[in-house]
Amino acid sequence: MHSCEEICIPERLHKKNKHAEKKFNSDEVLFRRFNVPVQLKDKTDGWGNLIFKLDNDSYNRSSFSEPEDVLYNINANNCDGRYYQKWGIYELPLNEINNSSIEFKIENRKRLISFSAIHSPVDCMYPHSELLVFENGKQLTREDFIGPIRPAVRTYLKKFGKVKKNPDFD
Amino acid sequence: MTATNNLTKYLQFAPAIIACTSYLVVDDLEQITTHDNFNICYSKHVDTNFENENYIKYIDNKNYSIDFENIIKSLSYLDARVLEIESPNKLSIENALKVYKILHSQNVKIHNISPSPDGGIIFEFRKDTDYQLFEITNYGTFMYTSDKDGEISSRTFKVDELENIIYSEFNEYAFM
Repeated sequence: MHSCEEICIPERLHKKNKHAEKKFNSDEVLFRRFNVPVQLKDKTDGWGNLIFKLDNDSYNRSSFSEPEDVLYNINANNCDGRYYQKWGIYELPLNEINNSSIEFKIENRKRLISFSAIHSPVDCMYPHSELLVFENGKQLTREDFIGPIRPAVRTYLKKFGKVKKNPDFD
Repeated sequence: MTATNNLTKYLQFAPAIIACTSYLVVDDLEQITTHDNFNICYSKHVDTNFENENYIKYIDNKNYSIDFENIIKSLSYLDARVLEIESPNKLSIENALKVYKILHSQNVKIHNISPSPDGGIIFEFRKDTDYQLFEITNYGTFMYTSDKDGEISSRTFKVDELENIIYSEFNEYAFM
């Protein structure tokens, strides 16, 4: 485990003694970095499937960061690996998603799913946040979150977001 | 004995090896699977940008149409570790090719193909605001998802149900 200084994460992004800010503004967006294979370079509408891995996905919230800050790699081993220069940035507005419920028909059964953004600062990245998925008020565990519910949730989420910065394919 | 086995194996796969090595260095070739009209060539590859070893799959599909070639290219040559996803495996590629053949025979226009973040391959279809996808997983399952009139539904299906799904859900997507 390296210190934030050792991996060259800017000090303004460090958590220090700051606590999580639970409340999200209505106009707030989440930033997520992503990459796509060069074969999909010109197939921009196919990128959405690769953005939401639905596996404790990490985001940065816009209240405390600039879009490009999400390209910092807080798990880097040194300053050389600290930044995903060539990756793209996806912007997901929260106004229609956060704390709202949507009914999906999964295996011909109706399931009520909701999403909740949480601010979960980590030492080198205060803006770090997650988007949790709930069913009937209970957070979906990895065991519950399998099968056709996954493409359904991806289909829903990618309706709202947009690419803020394209990956660099050069 | 080993040499004889290798020779037998080589002769059995000779046409595929020749096809695969037309665009691969022989030493890179690790495995070949053959099908009626195409070969899948597995290669170990070092990505020069990220210096990670990646297994990439090259599919020799010269007997297929240009559309098919482009589609296959989208799901091969995949630097999965660089993308931090699980690469489509042999099973999902083979099943995706089965799905492709059926879609192709029904003249269904595929909008896009991409690897799935869960491992596997996704076929996408769009028409105005409607959206549909097939996801073929690395575990041998097939999923159909649709977003029509604001309702999102998703279910698993067996490959022999595919034609029924196309018939009932895809009429307006065909370009016959």
